Amino acid sequence: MKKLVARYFPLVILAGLSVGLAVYAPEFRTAGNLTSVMYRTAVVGIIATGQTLVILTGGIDLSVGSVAALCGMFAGLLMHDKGMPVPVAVFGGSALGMFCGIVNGSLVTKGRIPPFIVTLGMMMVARGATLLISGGLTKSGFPDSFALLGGGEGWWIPVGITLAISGTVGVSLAFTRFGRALYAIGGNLTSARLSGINVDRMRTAAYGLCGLLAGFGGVVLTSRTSVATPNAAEGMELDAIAACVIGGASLMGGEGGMAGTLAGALIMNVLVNFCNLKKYDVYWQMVLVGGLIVGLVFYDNYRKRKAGLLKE
Amino acid sequence: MKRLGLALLVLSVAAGCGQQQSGGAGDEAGAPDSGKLRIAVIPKGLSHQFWLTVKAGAEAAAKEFGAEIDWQGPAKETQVAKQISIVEDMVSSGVDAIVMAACDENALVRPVQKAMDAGIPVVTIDSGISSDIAVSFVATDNVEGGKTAARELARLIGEEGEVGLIPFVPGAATSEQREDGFLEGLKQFPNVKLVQTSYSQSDVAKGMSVTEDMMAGTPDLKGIFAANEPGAIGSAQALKASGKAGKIKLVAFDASNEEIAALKEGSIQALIVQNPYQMGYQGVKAAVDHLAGKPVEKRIDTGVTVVTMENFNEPDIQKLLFPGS
Repeated sequence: MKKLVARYFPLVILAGLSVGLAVYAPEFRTAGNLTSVMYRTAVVGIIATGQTLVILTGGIDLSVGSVAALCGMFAGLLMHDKGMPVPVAVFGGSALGMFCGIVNGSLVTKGRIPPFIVTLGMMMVARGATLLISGGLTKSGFPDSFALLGGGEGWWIPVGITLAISGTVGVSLAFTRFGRALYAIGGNLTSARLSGINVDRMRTAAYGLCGLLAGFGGVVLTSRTSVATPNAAEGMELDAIAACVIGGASLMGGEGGMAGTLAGALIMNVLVNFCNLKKYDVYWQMVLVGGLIVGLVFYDNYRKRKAGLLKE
Repeated sequence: MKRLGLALLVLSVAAGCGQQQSGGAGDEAGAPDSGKLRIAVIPKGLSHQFWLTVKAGAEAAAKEFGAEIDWQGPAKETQVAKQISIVEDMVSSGVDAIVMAACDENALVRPVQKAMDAGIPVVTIDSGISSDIAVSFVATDNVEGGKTAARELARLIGEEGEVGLIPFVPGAATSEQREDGFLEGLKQFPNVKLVQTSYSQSDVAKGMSVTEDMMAGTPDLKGIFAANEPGAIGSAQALKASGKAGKIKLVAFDASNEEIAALKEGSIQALIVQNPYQMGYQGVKAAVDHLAGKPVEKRIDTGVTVVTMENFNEPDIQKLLFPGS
């Protein structure tokens, strides 16, 4: 029991936080507010799902925010300038994200460049490319059906998509060779290689999937906001990484999971939402949320150590 | 072999960048002429509608006062170094005056000082420099703009009720000026209460979520002032999605295509529109006046115009919103 609680601690925290806030702040527990928080978490949830795969291998992807902006803009341009149908734009945006991810993965594995540097470079390249293809301008005026994806017809569509993606990836992590390989690589890269895992291919695949989900997340973001802006998703890479870590992932690799990551993303948005509802001063909000995030991760690690779940 | 290919790639990329940087600037300068005043007008960028409108205003003033315009600028607002070299080129080509919008308020101080030292007066428009050496600064008074927004929002909600404010970035000068003006303006309306200030970080998605939080936290919310374009688009989108468009009044700064569309469909009730045409016109006029020895105000406000659906179709407003057509 103790182990179980420790393992799913982020979910416990999220549940506790939500119940506590619902009792303390009546505005929080309204249906409108709860759905609003869930559906604004969709984009960062999708992107953080991909980020988790990379973090499991002991890597990091700093480019997801910029790649999301690039792909959201690309999809927007396909519809707006080229008159392409919606599915083509969604597919094109996601494919471009996957391409960026595979480039990241190849440079990390074949080029032997540290992930931090590769993805930092991609972060700048993708942001620059976004500005280039858009001419620095905001694009809008997409077909009505495109709004569906981001919740134009109801919040459950983006939330459902996020849960489906997170669930599929979560099941693959637990029950496929690919999933077990990622944990093994993050745990110990050399022994993973010696045990016959094609380490390079698995890592490249992790970056590729991360790029794919960043791209798709960017398309959902464009749909949600109804405009494609060149500065969209700025800083979202940090939100995504924070979601993984709050959700119990280790930046050293080998630890983390989908349920935790989604809980991590929700915890952050719930905290900000609560501060806004209570009308806390925005400067204090930043101090408060930042402090709480570090505190949560500290307490999580402390519990895990006591329950004997951490290696060391 | 691989390495050679990589090196070639790097070289060709570098060469490509180099090509874009060179060319342009004061190439076609020179050719002193028939005693007409030559005034260099240097915008922050060439492509945006905003700058084309500034150009139209500058040309109108030039025609009126018998001057000639030399229109040169960097392609993008971030090309600070390029703008500096354009200013230097204009100085060496011996123009009579420079009217410019600074890409960077600090980096352009020295080039402006050099021009003034060379006896070429500089008038800054839209974006000034961090020193008051320029002859005049012709731009929107953002504090006044904020006050105008407060008056308009108060009018829309019947001078009574709770309102929210969405500035853009904490600490950014323009954002704080509009915020200060808005607070100042609200003082005239004792029954209008500002209940919340949340920043959009100039991000459409954040503009949406802070608006949703405002609506949840203040069920009786009557109105919102969004102090720039991304915050306004996000706020309008959130109001539309929750079916509150028109019920909660939204006043927004600027007039991008997306904001105009939101005004037409009723999710924004009023736009506070800056006047780039006047910036170009008044900028050139200030330069001409200064050269003629007339006194020029150190700070010229080009004002803002409130655009609602009531005045939307008036010819003057149409010209302000769609200067190209």
